[in-house]
Amino acid sequence: MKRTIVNEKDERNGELQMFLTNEEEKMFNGEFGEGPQLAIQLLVDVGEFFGAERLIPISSAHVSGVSYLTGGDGLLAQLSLFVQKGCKVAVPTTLNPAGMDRKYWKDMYIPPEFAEKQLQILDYYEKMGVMTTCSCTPYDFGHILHKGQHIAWAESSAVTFANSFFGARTNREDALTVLAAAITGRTAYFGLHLTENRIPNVEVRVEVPIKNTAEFGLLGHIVGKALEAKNFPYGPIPLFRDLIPEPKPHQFKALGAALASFSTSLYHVEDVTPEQELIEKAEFEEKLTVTADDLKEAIEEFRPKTEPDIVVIGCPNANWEEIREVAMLVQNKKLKPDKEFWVFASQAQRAIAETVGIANILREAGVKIFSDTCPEVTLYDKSRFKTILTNSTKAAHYIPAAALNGIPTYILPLKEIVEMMFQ
Amino acid sequence: MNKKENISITQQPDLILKGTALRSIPKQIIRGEALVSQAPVTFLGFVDAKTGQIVQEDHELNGKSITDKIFVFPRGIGSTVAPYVLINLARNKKAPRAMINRESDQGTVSGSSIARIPLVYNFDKDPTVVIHTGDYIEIEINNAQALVKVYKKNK
Repeated sequence: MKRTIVNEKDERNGELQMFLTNEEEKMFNGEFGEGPQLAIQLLVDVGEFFGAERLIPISSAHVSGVSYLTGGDGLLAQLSLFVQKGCKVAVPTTLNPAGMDRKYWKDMYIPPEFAEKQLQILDYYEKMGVMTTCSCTPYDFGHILHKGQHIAWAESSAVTFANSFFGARTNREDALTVLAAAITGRTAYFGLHLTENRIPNVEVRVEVPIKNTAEFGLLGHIVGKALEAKNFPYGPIPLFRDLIPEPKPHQFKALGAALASFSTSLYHVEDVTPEQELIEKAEFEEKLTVTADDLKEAIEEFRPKTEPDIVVIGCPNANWEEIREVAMLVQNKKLKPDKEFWVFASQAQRAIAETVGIANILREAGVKIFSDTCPEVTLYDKSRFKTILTNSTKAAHYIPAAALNGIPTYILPLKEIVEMMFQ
Repeated sequence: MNKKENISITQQPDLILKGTALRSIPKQIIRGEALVSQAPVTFLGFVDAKTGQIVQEDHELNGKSITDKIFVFPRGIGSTVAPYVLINLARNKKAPRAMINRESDQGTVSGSSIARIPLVYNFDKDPTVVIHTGDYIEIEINNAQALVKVYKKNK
Protein backbone atom coordinates (compact mmCIF):
# COMPACT_ATOMS: atom_id res chain seq x y z
CA MET A 1 0.00 0.00 0.00
CA LYS A 2 1.40 3.39 -0.95
CA ARG A 3 0.10 6.53 0.62
CA THR A 4 1.00 10.16 0.44
CA ILE A 5 2.23 11.63 3.68
CA VAL A 6 2.62 15.35 4.02
CA ASN A 7 4.52 16.71 6.95
CA GLU A 8 4.72 20.45 6.63
CA LYS A 9 7.04 20.90 9.58
CA ASP A 10 10.19 19.64 7.88
CA GLU A 11 8.95 19.92 4.31
CA ARG A 12 8.87 16.17 3.84
CA ASN A 13 6.46 15.11 1.21
CA GLY A 14 5.98 12.60 -1.53
CA GLU A 15 5.13 8.95 -1.75
CA LEU A 16 6.14 6.84 1.20
CA GLN A 17 7.55 3.61 -0.20
CA MET A 18 6.98 1.42 2.89
CA PHE A 19 3.85 -0.24 4.19
CA LEU A 20 3.06 0.74 7.78
CA THR A 21 0.46 -0.93 10.03
CA ASN A 22 -2.22 1.24 11.61
CA GLU A 23 -0.25 1.36 14.86
CA GLU A 24 2.99 2.24 13.04
CA GLU A 25 1.22 4.94 11.10
CA LYS A 26 -0.02 6.46 14.35
CA MET A 27 3.55 6.37 15.64
CA PHE A 28 4.79 7.97 12.41
CA ASN A 29 2.23 10.74 12.78
CA GLY A 30 3.26 11.45 16.35
CA GLU A 31 0.27 10.00 18.23
CA PHE A 32 2.59 8.12 20.64
CA GLY A 33 4.73 11.20 21.25
CA GLU A 34 7.66 12.92 19.64
CA GLY A 35 10.27 10.32 20.71
CA PRO A 36 8.74 7.29 19.00
CA GLN A 37 7.95 9.53 16.01
CA LEU A 38 11.60 10.55 15.66
CA ALA A 39 12.61 6.89 15.95
CA ILE A 40 10.19 5.50 13.37
CA GLN A 41 11.03 8.30 10.90
CA LEU A 42 14.67 7.26 11.03
CA LEU A 43 13.67 3.61 10.43
CA VAL A 44 11.65 4.74 7.41
CA ASP A 45 14.60 6.78 6.02
CA VAL A 46 16.84 3.70 6.30
CA GLY A 47 14.09 1.27 5.22
CA GLU A 48 13.40 3.26 2.06
CA PHE A 49 17.12 3.42 1.30
CA PHE A 50 17.27 -0.39 1.38
CA GLY A 51 13.94 -0.90 -0.36
CA ALA A 52 12.30 -2.51 2.70
CA GLU A 53 8.59 -3.24 2.18
CA ARG A 54 7.70 -2.96 5.85
CA LEU A 55 8.91 -3.10 9.45
CA ILE A 56 9.05 -6.29 11.55
CA PRO A 57 8.80 -6.82 15.32
CA ILE A 58 12.07 -7.69 17.08
CA SER A 59 12.62 -9.68 20.26
CA SER A 60 15.73 -7.88 21.50
CA ALA A 61 18.12 -5.01 20.82
CA HIS A 62 21.81 -4.54 21.53
CA VAL A 63 22.99 -0.95 21.40
CA SER A 64 26.42 0.35 20.32
CA GLY A 65 27.60 3.92 20.77
CA VAL A 66 28.42 4.00 24.48
CA SER A 67 32.04 5.03 24.91
CA TYR A 68 32.74 8.73 25.22
CA LEU A 69 35.93 8.03 23.23
CA THR A 70 33.99 6.99 20.11
CA GLY A 71 30.72 8.92 20.54
CA GLY A 72 32.04 12.19 21.92
CA ASP A 73 29.78 15.13 22.73
CA GLY A 74 27.53 14.29 19.77
CA LEU A 75 26.52 11.09 21.57
CA LEU A 76 25.76 12.96 24.81
CA ALA A 77 23.68 15.54 22.92
CA GLN A 78 21.74 12.90 20.98
CA LEU A 79 20.97 10.81 24.08
CA SER A 80 19.94 13.90 26.01
CA LEU A 81 17.49 14.67 23.19
CA PHE A 82 16.00 11.15 23.28
CA VAL A 83 15.64 11.36 27.08
CA GLN A 84 14.02 14.83 26.90
CA LYS A 85 11.49 13.48 24.43
CA GLY A 86 10.61 10.71 26.87
CA CYS A 87 11.95 7.82 24.78
CA LYS A 88 11.83 4.38 26.45
CA VAL A 89 12.91 1.09 24.94
CA ALA A 90 10.10 -1.34 24.08
CA VAL A 91 12.10 -4.63 24.05
CA PRO A 92 14.87 -6.10 26.25
CA THR A 93 17.89 -3.99 25.35
CA THR A 94 21.53 -4.50 26.33
CA LEU A 95 24.44 -2.09 25.95
CA ASN A 96 27.89 -2.25 24.37
CA PRO A 97 31.16 -1.52 26.26
CA ALA A 98 31.70 1.92 27.74
CA GLY A 99 35.06 3.71 27.78
CA MET A 100 36.00 2.50 31.25
CA ASP A 101 35.18 0.19 34.17
CA ARG A 102 32.32 1.87 36.06
CA LYS A 103 33.91 1.11 39.42
CA TYR A 104 37.64 0.67 38.85
CA TRP A 105 38.28 3.39 36.25
CA LYS A 106 41.06 4.91 38.34
CA ASP A 107 43.04 1.66 38.00
CA MET A 108 42.83 2.26 34.24
CA TYR A 109 44.33 5.77 34.65
CA ILE A 110 41.15 7.37 33.24
CA PRO A 111 41.02 11.17 33.76
CA PRO A 112 38.07 12.34 35.95
CA GLU A 113 36.70 14.59 33.15
CA PHE A 114 36.37 11.56 30.90
CA ALA A 115 34.79 9.50 33.70
CA GLU A 116 32.21 12.18 34.37
CA LYS A 117 31.07 12.30 30.72
CA GLN A 118 31.06 8.50 30.53
CA LEU A 119 28.87 8.11 33.63
CA GLN A 120 26.49 10.73 32.21
CA ILE A 121 26.12 8.64 29.04
CA LEU A 122 25.28 5.52 31.10
CA ASP A 123 22.79 7.55 33.11
CA TYR A 124 20.96 8.63 29.94
CA TYR A 125 20.75 5.03 28.72
CA GLU A 126 19.40 3.92 32.10
CA LYS A 127 16.70 6.60 31.91
CA MET A 128 15.62 5.11 28.58
CA GLY A 129 15.22 1.68 30.18
CA VAL A 130 18.32 0.17 28.57
CA MET A 131 20.09 -2.48 30.69
CA THR A 132 23.55 -0.98 31.10
CA THR A 133 25.32 -4.33 30.75
CA CYS A 134 28.22 -2.66 28.88
CA SER A 135 29.63 -5.69 27.10
CA CYS A 136 30.02 -6.67 23.44
CA THR A 137 29.05 -10.31 24.18
CA PRO A 138 25.38 -10.13 25.28
CA TYR A 139 24.92 -13.71 23.97
CA ASP A 140 27.22 -14.90 26.79
CA PHE A 141 24.84 -13.89 29.58
CA GLY A 142 21.69 -12.06 28.45
CA HIS A 143 19.64 -12.75 25.37
CA ILE A 144 18.83 -16.37 24.53
CA LEU A 145 18.96 -16.61 20.75
CA HIS A 146 17.54 -19.17 18.34
CA LYS A 147 17.54 -19.86 14.63
CA GLY A 148 15.26 -17.57 12.64
CA GLN A 149 14.66 -15.12 15.50
CA HIS A 150 14.49 -11.48 14.37
CA ILE A 151 16.59 -9.13 16.49
CA ALA A 152 18.17 -5.67 16.05
CA TRP A 153 21.78 -5.60 17.17
CA ALA A 154 24.51 -3.10 16.45
CA GLU A 155 27.94 -4.22 17.71
CA SER A 156 29.49 -5.75 14.59
CA SER A 157 31.15 -8.73 16.29
CA ALA A 158 27.94 -9.58 18.19
CA VAL A 159 25.89 -9.26 15.00
CA THR A 160 28.19 -11.69 13.24
CA PHE A 161 28.11 -14.14 16.16
CA ALA A 162 24.29 -13.98 16.49
CA ASN A 163 23.81 -14.53 12.74
CA SER A 164 26.49 -17.16 12.21
CA PHE A 165 26.60 -19.23 15.41
CA PHE A 166 22.90 -19.14 16.36
CA GLY A 167 21.25 -18.46 12.99
CA ALA A 168 19.34 -15.50 14.50
CA ARG A 169 18.62 -12.68 12.04
CA THR A 170 19.92 -9.16 12.29
CA ASN A 171 21.42 -6.62 9.97
CA ARG A 172 24.36 -4.68 11.24
CA GLU A 173 22.27 -1.93 12.81
CA ASP A 174 24.15 1.27 13.43
CA ALA A 175 24.26 3.14 16.73
CA LEU A 176 21.26 5.31 15.80
CA THR A 177 18.96 2.84 14.02
CA VAL A 178 19.41 0.32 16.82
CA LEU A 179 18.10 2.86 19.33
CA ALA A 180 15.20 3.61 17.00
CA ALA A 181 14.55 -0.15 16.79
CA ALA A 182 14.70 -0.55 20.58
CA ILE A 183 12.28 2.37 21.08
CA THR A 184 9.76 1.21 18.48
CA GLY A 185 10.25 -2.55 19.03
CA ARG A 186 10.67 -2.90 15.26
CA THR A 187 13.22 -2.70 12.55
CA ALA A 188 13.17 -2.38 8.76
CA TYR A 189 12.60 -5.74 7.06
CA PHE A 190 15.42 -6.15 4.55
CA GLY A 191 18.86 -7.67 4.12
CA LEU A 192 19.80 -10.46 6.49
CA HIS A 193 16.24 -10.70 7.85
CA LEU A 194 15.34 -12.42 4.55
CA THR A 195 16.46 -16.00 3.85
CA GLU A 196 17.52 -15.30 0.24
CA ASN A 197 20.08 -12.73 1.41
CA ARG A 198 21.75 -15.18 3.82
CA ILE A 199 23.08 -17.54 1.14
CA PRO A 200 26.90 -17.67 1.10
CA ASN A 201 28.47 -15.70 -1.77
CA VAL A 202 32.19 -16.43 -1.22
CA GLU A 203 33.77 -19.86 -0.90
CA VAL A 204 36.85 -20.06 1.31
CA ARG A 205 39.04 -23.14 1.40
CA VAL A 206 41.39 -23.15 4.36
CA GLU A 207 44.44 -25.24 3.49
CA VAL A 208 46.33 -24.55 6.67
CA PRO A 209 45.43 -25.76 10.18
CA ILE A 210 44.15 -22.87 12.33
CA LYS A 211 45.58 -23.55 15.76
CA ASN A 212 44.50 -20.90 18.26
CA THR A 213 42.23 -17.90 18.88
CA ALA A 214 44.79 -15.41 17.52
CA GLU A 215 45.00 -17.39 14.28
CA PHE A 216 41.22 -17.51 13.92
CA GLY A 217 41.29 -13.71 14.06
CA LEU A 218 44.09 -13.55 11.50
CA LEU A 219 42.12 -15.88 9.21
CA GLY A 220 39.24 -13.39 9.38
CA HIS A 221 41.67 -10.56 8.61
CA ILE A 222 43.10 -12.38 5.55
CA VAL A 223 39.64 -13.12 4.11
CA GLY A 224 38.22 -9.69 4.97
CA LYS A 225 41.16 -7.87 3.43
CA ALA A 226 41.01 -9.98 0.24
CA LEU A 227 37.34 -9.00 -0.26
CA GLU A 228 37.66 -5.38 0.87
CA ALA A 229 37.32 -3.79 -2.58
CA LYS A 230 34.37 -5.99 -3.63
CA ASN A 231 30.87 -4.73 -3.11
CA PHE A 232 28.22 -7.17 -1.90
CA PRO A 233 24.79 -5.73 -1.00
CA TYR A 234 24.89 -7.04 2.59
CA GLY A 235 28.62 -7.68 2.88
CA PRO A 236 30.62 -10.76 1.93
CA ILE A 237 29.05 -13.97 3.31
CA PRO A 238 31.90 -16.49 3.34
CA LEU A 239 31.41 -20.22 3.50
CA PHE A 240 34.42 -21.83 5.16
CA ARG A 241 35.30 -25.33 4.08
CA ASP A 242 37.96 -27.55 5.67
CA LEU A 243 38.00 -25.58 8.93
CA ILE A 244 38.68 -27.61 12.06
CA PRO A 245 35.54 -29.68 12.79
CA GLU A 246 34.49 -28.14 16.09
CA PRO A 247 35.93 -24.70 16.70
CA LYS A 248 35.31 -23.36 20.19
CA PRO A 249 32.68 -20.61 20.55
CA HIS A 250 35.35 -18.01 21.33
CA GLN A 251 37.25 -19.02 18.20
CA PHE A 252 34.07 -18.39 16.16
CA LYS A 253 33.87 -15.08 18.00
CA ALA A 254 37.46 -14.11 17.04
CA LEU A 255 36.94 -15.12 13.39
CA GLY A 256 33.66 -13.21 13.18
CA ALA A 257 35.01 -10.09 14.91
CA ALA A 258 37.90 -9.87 12.44
CA LEU A 259 35.61 -10.44 9.43
CA ALA A 260 33.20 -7.84 10.82
CA SER A 261 35.92 -5.18 10.72
CA PHE A 262 35.64 -5.62 6.92
CA SER A 263 31.81 -5.46 6.74
CA THR A 264 30.90 -9.16 6.98
CA SER A 265 27.84 -9.79 9.19
CA LEU A 266 27.31 -13.50 8.55
CA TYR A 267 29.47 -16.47 7.69
CA HIS A 268 28.86 -20.18 7.43
CA VAL A 269 31.11 -23.13 8.30
CA GLU A 270 30.48 -26.36 6.42
CA ASP A 271 29.04 -29.08 8.69
CA VAL A 272 29.07 -26.78 11.73
CA THR A 273 26.86 -23.64 11.63
CA PRO A 274 23.03 -23.92 11.76
CA GLU A 275 22.06 -22.86 8.21
CA GLN A 276 23.60 -25.76 6.23
CA GLU A 277 20.53 -25.84 3.95
CA LEU A 278 21.67 -22.55 2.37
CA ILE A 279 24.99 -23.97 1.14
CA GLU A 280 23.51 -25.91 -1.78
CA LYS A 281 21.77 -22.74 -3.00
CA ALA A 282 25.06 -20.86 -3.26
CA GLU A 283 26.41 -19.42 -6.50
CA PHE A 284 29.80 -18.16 -5.41
CA GLU A 285 30.92 -14.79 -6.74
CA GLU A 286 34.41 -15.30 -5.35
CA LYS A 287 36.53 -18.30 -4.44
CA LEU A 288 39.48 -17.93 -2.10
CA THR A 289 42.09 -20.34 -0.81
CA VAL A 290 43.95 -19.51 2.37
CA THR A 291 47.40 -21.10 2.31
CA ALA A 292 50.11 -21.63 4.92
CA ASP A 293 52.01 -18.74 3.30
CA ASP A 294 49.02 -16.38 3.69
CA LEU A 295 48.82 -17.18 7.39
CA LYS A 296 52.56 -16.84 7.86
CA GLU A 297 52.52 -13.44 6.19
CA ALA A 298 49.69 -12.23 8.46
CA ILE A 299 51.47 -13.52 11.57
CA GLU A 300 54.63 -11.62 10.54
CA GLU A 301 52.69 -8.43 9.75
CA PHE A 302 51.37 -8.20 13.32
CA ARG A 303 54.34 -9.67 15.23
CA PRO A 304 55.64 -7.21 17.87
CA LYS A 305 58.56 -5.10 16.64
CA THR A 306 59.44 -4.10 20.22
CA GLU A 307 58.59 -5.32 23.74
CA PRO A 308 55.15 -3.83 24.45
CA ASP A 309 54.13 -1.90 27.59
CA ILE A 310 50.74 -3.50 28.08
CA VAL A 311 48.77 -6.61 27.10
CA VAL A 312 45.03 -6.42 26.48
CA ILE A 313 42.91 -9.60 26.27
CA GLY A 314 39.14 -9.65 25.77
CA CYS A 315 38.27 -8.10 22.40
CA PRO A 316 35.50 -9.26 22.10
CA ASN A 317 35.03 -9.58 25.89
CA ALA A 318 36.52 -12.80 27.30
CA ASN A 319 34.20 -15.60 28.44
CA TRP A 320 35.04 -17.69 31.53
CA GLU A 321 36.80 -20.29 29.39
CA GLU A 322 39.18 -17.65 27.99
CA ILE A 323 39.73 -16.13 31.44
CA ARG A 324 40.53 -19.63 32.69
CA GLU A 325 42.98 -20.12 29.81
CA VAL A 326 44.88 -17.00 30.94
CA ALA A 327 44.79 -18.19 34.57
CA MET A 328 46.24 -21.59 33.70
CA LEU A 329 49.13 -19.95 31.81
CA VAL A 330 50.04 -17.28 34.40
CA GLN A 331 49.60 -19.43 37.52
CA ASN A 332 52.71 -19.20 39.75
CA LYS A 333 54.31 -16.64 37.42
CA LYS A 334 54.87 -12.93 37.95
CA LEU A 335 54.32 -10.13 35.43
CA LYS A 336 57.58 -8.36 34.52
CA PRO A 337 58.09 -5.04 36.34
CA ASP A 338 56.65 -1.89 34.70
CA LYS A 339 54.37 -3.99 32.49
CA GLU A 340 50.59 -4.23 32.66
CA PHE A 341 48.26 -7.06 31.67
CA TRP A 342 44.53 -6.36 31.43
CA VAL A 343 41.73 -8.88 30.88
CA PHE A 344 38.35 -7.48 29.79
CA ALA A 345 35.23 -9.51 30.61
CA SER A 346 31.52 -8.82 31.01
CA GLN A 347 30.26 -8.37 34.59
CA ALA A 348 28.53 -11.77 34.29
CA GLN A 349 31.54 -13.78 33.05
CA ARG A 350 33.77 -11.98 35.51
CA ALA A 351 31.42 -12.97 38.36
CA ILE A 352 31.90 -16.63 37.36
CA ALA A 353 35.68 -16.15 37.35
CA GLU A 354 35.48 -14.58 40.82
CA THR A 355 33.23 -17.34 42.21
CA VAL A 356 35.34 -20.26 41.02
CA GLY A 357 38.64 -18.67 42.14
CA ILE A 358 40.14 -17.96 38.71
CA ALA A 359 40.14 -14.21 39.26
CA ASN A 360 42.42 -14.57 42.29
CA ILE A 361 44.99 -16.52 40.31
CA LEU A 362 45.08 -13.64 37.82
CA ARG A 363 45.46 -10.95 40.47
CA GLU A 364 48.28 -12.86 42.21
CA ALA A 365 50.18 -12.95 38.91
CA GLY A 366 49.75 -9.18 38.48
CA VAL A 367 46.85 -9.24 36.01
CA LYS A 368 44.01 -6.69 36.27
CA ILE A 369 40.43 -7.63 35.31
CA PHE A 370 38.09 -4.94 34.03
CA SER A 371 34.40 -4.96 33.12
CA ASP A 372 31.99 -2.55 31.38
CA THR A 373 34.63 -1.79 28.74
CA CYS A 374 36.92 -3.30 26.11
CA PRO A 375 40.45 -2.96 24.67
CA GLU A 376 39.16 -0.93 21.74
CA VAL A 377 36.93 1.79 23.19
CA THR A 378 38.76 2.60 26.41
CA LEU A 379 41.09 5.60 26.66
CA TYR A 380 44.75 4.66 27.23
CA ASP A 381 47.23 6.83 29.15
CA LYS A 382 49.65 7.51 26.29
CA SER A 383 52.43 8.59 28.64
CA ARG A 384 52.49 5.05 30.05
CA PHE A 385 51.53 2.95 27.06
CA LYS A 386 53.50 3.41 23.83
CA THR A 387 52.88 -0.05 22.38
CA ILE A 388 50.17 -2.63 22.99
CA LEU A 389 50.09 -6.41 22.58
CA THR A 390 46.91 -8.47 22.14
CA ASN A 391 45.64 -11.78 20.76
CA SER A 392 42.77 -9.98 18.99
CA THR A 393 42.83 -8.92 15.36
CA LYS A 394 39.89 -6.59 15.91
CA ALA A 395 41.75 -4.77 18.71
CA ALA A 396 44.83 -4.48 16.48
CA HIS A 397 42.60 -2.99 13.77
CA TYR A 398 41.05 -0.21 15.87
CA ILE A 399 43.47 0.71 18.70
CA PRO A 400 46.07 2.21 16.26
CA ALA A 401 43.36 4.32 14.54
CA ALA A 402 44.63 7.91 14.65
CA ALA A 403 41.29 9.42 15.70
CA LEU A 404 40.89 6.85 18.53
CA ASN A 405 43.92 5.90 20.67
CA GLY A 406 46.52 5.88 17.89
CA ILE A 407 48.83 3.41 19.66
CA PRO A 408 50.72 0.73 17.65
CA THR A 409 49.23 -2.68 18.48
CA TYR A 410 50.67 -6.13 17.79
CA ILE A 411 49.30 -9.67 17.86
CA LEU A 412 50.64 -12.93 19.31
CA PRO A 413 48.92 -16.13 20.49
CA LEU A 414 48.14 -16.03 24.21
CA LYS A 415 50.79 -18.62 25.09
CA GLU A 416 53.57 -16.60 23.44
CA ILE A 417 52.29 -13.39 25.05
CA VAL A 418 52.63 -14.95 28.49
CA GLU A 419 56.12 -16.24 27.65
CA MET A 420 57.17 -12.71 26.63
CA MET A 421 55.60 -10.75 29.50
CA PHE A 422 55.98 -12.99 32.58
CA GLN A 423 58.95 -14.22 34.51
CA MET B 1 29.72 33.31 -2.89
CA ASN B 2 33.20 33.26 -4.37
CA LYS B 3 34.20 34.03 -7.93
CA LYS B 4 34.32 30.42 -9.01
CA GLU B 5 30.75 29.85 -7.93
CA ASN B 6 29.53 32.84 -9.98
CA ILE B 7 31.11 31.53 -13.13
CA SER B 8 29.28 28.22 -12.96
CA ILE B 9 25.81 29.71 -13.19
CA THR B 10 26.38 31.11 -16.70
CA GLN B 11 27.95 27.89 -18.05
CA GLN B 12 26.35 24.65 -19.17
CA PRO B 13 27.27 21.70 -16.93
CA ASP B 14 29.66 19.18 -18.47
CA LEU B 15 27.71 16.32 -16.95
CA ILE B 16 24.39 15.77 -15.18
CA LEU B 17 23.74 12.81 -12.85
CA LYS B 18 20.31 11.73 -11.60
CA GLY B 19 19.94 10.02 -8.25
CA THR B 20 18.12 9.76 -4.95
CA ALA B 21 18.28 11.98 -1.86
CA LEU B 22 17.34 11.08 1.70
CA ARG B 23 13.63 11.72 2.16
CA SER B 24 14.25 13.82 5.28
CA ILE B 25 16.36 16.41 3.41
CA PRO B 26 14.37 19.52 2.49
CA LYS B 27 14.31 21.05 -1.00
CA GLN B 28 17.51 23.01 -1.65
CA ILE B 29 20.45 23.71 -3.95
CA ILE B 30 24.00 23.06 -2.70
CA ARG B 31 27.14 24.24 -4.48
CA GLY B 32 30.78 23.47 -3.81
CA GLU B 33 34.05 21.86 -4.81
CA ALA B 34 34.32 18.08 -5.14
CA LEU B 35 36.68 15.94 -3.09
CA VAL B 36 36.64 12.42 -4.52
CA SER B 37 37.71 9.10 -3.01
CA GLN B 38 37.59 5.85 -4.96
CA ALA B 39 38.13 3.94 -1.72
CA PRO B 40 35.42 3.51 0.94
CA VAL B 41 35.67 5.78 4.00
CA THR B 42 36.01 4.52 7.57
CA PHE B 43 34.48 7.33 9.62
CA LEU B 44 35.15 5.95 13.11
CA GLY B 45 38.84 6.18 13.85
CA PHE B 46 40.01 7.55 10.53
CA VAL B 47 38.11 10.80 10.13
CA ASP B 48 38.92 13.39 12.80
CA ALA B 49 35.66 15.07 13.85
CA LYS B 50 37.57 17.96 15.46
CA THR B 51 39.47 18.96 12.30
CA GLY B 52 37.47 17.37 9.47
CA GLN B 53 40.64 15.65 8.25
CA ILE B 54 41.05 12.11 6.99
CA VAL B 55 43.73 10.51 9.16
CA GLN B 56 44.43 7.13 7.61
CA GLU B 57 47.92 6.56 6.27
CA ASP B 58 46.95 4.01 3.63
CA HIS B 59 43.98 6.07 2.38
CA GLU B 60 44.22 8.03 -0.87
CA LEU B 61 42.89 11.19 0.86
CA ASN B 62 45.10 10.96 3.98
CA GLY B 63 45.61 14.45 5.41
CA LYS B 64 42.87 16.05 3.27
CA SER B 65 39.97 17.92 4.88
CA ILE B 66 36.38 17.03 3.98
CA THR B 67 35.05 20.22 5.61
CA ASP B 68 32.84 22.32 3.32
CA LYS B 69 33.56 20.02 0.38
CA ILE B 70 31.13 18.06 -1.76
CA PHE B 71 32.50 14.74 -0.55
CA VAL B 72 32.24 11.97 -3.15
CA PHE B 73 32.94 8.36 -2.10
CA PRO B 74 31.46 4.91 -2.72
CA ARG B 75 30.26 4.08 0.82
CA GLY B 76 31.17 4.14 4.48
CA ILE B 77 32.64 1.07 6.16
CA GLY B 78 33.71 0.02 9.65
CA SER B 79 32.16 0.56 13.05
CA THR B 80 28.45 0.90 13.76
CA VAL B 81 29.32 4.03 15.78
CA ALA B 82 30.20 5.86 12.53
CA PRO B 83 26.97 7.95 12.59
CA TYR B 84 28.21 9.75 15.71
CA VAL B 85 31.30 10.87 13.79
CA LEU B 86 28.96 12.55 11.28
CA ILE B 87 26.98 14.13 14.13
CA ASN B 88 30.21 15.36 15.75
CA LEU B 89 31.50 16.77 12.43
CA ALA B 90 28.23 18.71 12.08
CA ARG B 91 28.36 19.94 15.69
CA ASN B 92 31.96 21.09 15.23
CA LYS B 93 31.05 22.80 11.93
CA LYS B 94 33.53 20.57 10.10
CA ALA B 95 31.03 18.59 8.03
CA PRO B 96 31.07 18.40 4.25
CA ARG B 97 28.45 20.60 2.50
CA ALA B 98 26.97 17.47 0.98
CA MET B 99 27.95 13.86 0.31
CA ILE B 100 27.59 12.01 -2.98
CA ASN B 101 27.77 8.22 -2.60
CA ARG B 102 27.87 5.45 -5.19
CA GLU B 103 25.91 2.87 -3.16
CA SER B 104 26.17 4.30 0.39
CA ASP B 105 25.56 2.21 3.53
CA GLN B 106 23.37 2.13 6.59
CA GLY B 107 25.63 4.13 8.94
CA THR B 108 26.17 6.94 6.46
CA VAL B 109 22.43 7.09 5.75
CA SER B 110 21.34 7.26 9.38
CA GLY B 111 24.17 9.61 10.45
CA SER B 112 23.35 11.99 7.60
CA SER B 113 19.64 11.78 8.38
CA ILE B 114 20.16 12.82 12.01
CA ALA B 115 23.08 15.22 11.42
CA ARG B 116 21.15 16.78 8.49
CA ILE B 117 24.07 16.45 6.07
CA PRO B 118 22.56 16.30 2.57
CA LEU B 119 23.29 12.78 1.25
CA VAL B 120 22.57 11.74 -2.33
CA TYR B 121 23.13 8.29 -3.85
CA ASN B 122 21.91 5.73 -6.39
CA PHE B 123 23.05 7.43 -9.62
CA ASP B 124 22.86 6.38 -13.26
CA LYS B 125 26.67 6.72 -13.50
CA ASP B 126 29.40 5.95 -10.94
CA PRO B 127 30.05 9.35 -9.31
CA THR B 128 33.48 8.29 -7.99
CA VAL B 129 34.59 7.73 -11.61
CA VAL B 130 32.96 10.61 -13.51
CA ILE B 131 33.59 13.29 -10.87
CA HIS B 132 37.16 14.38 -10.07
CA THR B 133 38.61 16.27 -7.13
CA GLY B 134 38.41 20.00 -7.85
CA ASP B 135 35.35 19.79 -10.12
CA TYR B 136 32.65 22.31 -9.29
CA ILE B 137 29.36 20.71 -8.26
CA GLU B 138 25.78 21.89 -7.98
CA ILE B 139 23.23 19.56 -6.32
CA GLU B 140 19.48 20.16 -6.61
CA ILE B 141 17.44 18.25 -4.05
CA ASN B 142 13.68 18.07 -4.34
CA ASN B 143 11.30 15.49 -2.90
CA ALA B 144 13.89 12.69 -2.38
CA GLN B 145 15.25 13.27 -5.91
CA ALA B 146 18.76 14.54 -6.62
CA LEU B 147 20.14 16.24 -9.71
CA VAL B 148 23.94 16.65 -9.71
CA LYS B 149 25.48 19.09 -12.19
CA VAL B 150 29.22 18.71 -12.73
CA TYR B 151 31.42 21.51 -14.08
CA LYS B 152 34.81 20.01 -14.93
CA LYS B 153 37.96 21.66 -13.66
CA ASN B 154 40.10 20.13 -16.42
CA LYS B 155 38.43 19.69 -19.78
